[in-house]
Order: sequence, then structure tokens, then C-alpha cells
Amino acid sequence: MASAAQAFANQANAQHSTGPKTDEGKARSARNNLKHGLTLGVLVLSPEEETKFCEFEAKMRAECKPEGALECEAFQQFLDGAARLTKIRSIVGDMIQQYEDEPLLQPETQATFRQLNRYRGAAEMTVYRAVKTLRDLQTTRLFRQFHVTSEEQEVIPPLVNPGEKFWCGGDMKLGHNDRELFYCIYGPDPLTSRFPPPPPGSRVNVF
Amino acid sequence: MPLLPPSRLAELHMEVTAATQPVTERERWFTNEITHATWELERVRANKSNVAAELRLNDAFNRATRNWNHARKELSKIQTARVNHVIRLTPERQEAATVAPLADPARVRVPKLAGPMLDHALDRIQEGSLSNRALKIVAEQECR
Repeated sequence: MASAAQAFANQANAQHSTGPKTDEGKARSARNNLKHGLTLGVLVLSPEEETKFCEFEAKMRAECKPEGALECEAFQQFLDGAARLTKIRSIVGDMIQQYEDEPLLQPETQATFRQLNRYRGAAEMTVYRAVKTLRDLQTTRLFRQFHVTSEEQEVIPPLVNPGEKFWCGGDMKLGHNDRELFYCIYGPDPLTSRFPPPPPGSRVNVF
Repeated sequence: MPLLPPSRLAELHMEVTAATQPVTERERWFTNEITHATWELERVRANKSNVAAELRLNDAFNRATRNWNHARKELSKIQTARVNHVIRLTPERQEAATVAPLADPARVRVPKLAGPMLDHALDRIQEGSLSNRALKIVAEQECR
């Protein structure tokens, strides 16, 4: 058993090694026991994976053309989910190479598969939700570009898709007079009440 | 129990690609999802006689089926949107719509008239104060 002096010295020495102090050191030591990194907020990829993924990202970005903070965030969420799915697939691929038999049937892989399934479910949900969000945002953007005048865009908040409610646009190709015509028929649009229906005199011209 | 040869994955990829004919990178990505889900389903089916692993196989089957369906549905939406960009938009609008490639032009169209605006229109019809042209527009809206 250690003497009191030894215990004291031990405690005093322990004060000199209290782990990493800088943020960088803390981040490094947090990854000491890193296994697959799927639980990390930001996925860690190997340099090879990183290169492939950057290519994939560049191609997808060129294709999807996200614009604005919301679309960019949805796109990032899609990328994150896609990267996780790729990582999970590579882990399963390694397991298939490791076992000559079907890895799904190995008792020792049971816990790993259960865990991977959970991560995979979450990643799939992220991907599909992000794609849906991105599509909705772009559809709204396109609708506004086609059917909402710049004056109205100042009034109608950007996330409102007037086409889903009561706006009259689309195939009708509304011109200024047509828009007045619609005001005559349907009354003022509550979203654009800043633009009142035309005075009665102008109806004669429109009709 | 048999392990499907890795070459089967490549075969499946070719089969699924032939069936879905992806054109863009995002279509290829979802085709890849369908391929992997199909491969997993095949692996489960090849081992379905193993009673001891029934629970694990069921889990894998359910998850793969879900992913297969999600990916198929998503791919279908993406391809529909791509085609709609061509067939539903005029050339000028096609050009303008390239900034939002994921948007589905089928949803960018005249919405069905509803709510207070419909009430207002019906009141005007009852009053008889609408011209023929206006009545035609209301009728078109009602048909949608």
C-alpha cells in the first residue's frame, strides 16, 4: 500500500496531466476510440472517400443548383445522408469480405448489424426528407419566377407558394389587364391586398 | 448458407440500370439505392430457410423493402419532373427553369379555385355581373 507521501505525490503529479487543453487537442483525443464515426455530427471520411465524395458533391451541386440558404441547407443534409449511407455500405462490404458465409447470419455480427440498421434508417430518412424539401423549395421558387410579379414578390413572403392556394396564374399567362380581370372576378387576393381591385371604370376596358 | 457472389451485385446494377435508365447524377444515385436494396433482398431470400436467423432476416427484409420503395418512388418523381420540364414548358420557360432543376412544373400551374375567392366568384355569377369571358375562366377553374 502506498504511503501518505506517495499518495500525496501521486495526486500532485496528476495535476500536471489533466488531458488535452486546446480545442484541437480535445478534438483529437475525442477521436481516440473512433470506430466508424457514424454517430458524429460531422462525418469523418478517409482521404480516399473524401476525394470520391468531393467529386460526387461537385456533380450533384452542378445538377441540383441549390440557391439561397434554405436550399443549400437541404442540399447539405442530402449530402450528409448520402455520405453516411455510403460509409455504412462500405462497412457491410468489408464484413462480406471478412466472412465466407452470409454476414447477416453470423451471431457475432448481430449487434453490429442492429446498430448499423439504426444509423442506416436515420440516414435514409435524412436523404429522402432533404430531397423532398429541396424539390418543394425549388418548385415554389419556379412558381414565383413564372407567376408572381416583382411588386408582388415584395409583399408575399418567399416561402409562400401562392399557386397552392388561390392565385390565378400558370397556363393562363396573365398580363396586366388579365390580372385586373381576375380581381374583378374573384375579388382582391388577401395576400396582395396592397393591390386593390381596379376602379369600376376600368372594368369596361377589361371586359 | 450460401453467400451471393459479389459479381451478382454488378449484374443487378446492370439490370436495374437497364430498367430505370438514369440520365442525371441524382437519378444514378437513386438507381444505386435500388440496386443495393434489391441485392439485400436477394441475400435475404437466399437464406430464408435459416430459421435461427429469422428475426435478423426479417429486419433486413423490411428495411430493404422500405428503402427499395422509397428510392423507386423518388426516382419516379425525379424522372417525371425532368420530363415535365420538357413537355409542360415552352422553350423560353425551359430555359428559365434550368435554375430550379428539381422543381416539378406539373405543380407550377393554375391552382384550383377555393376559399373566399371562389365564394366571391360564385356570388358574381349569381348576380349575373360577369362577362362571357369571365364565366369561361371560372368554368375552366372549376374543371380543374
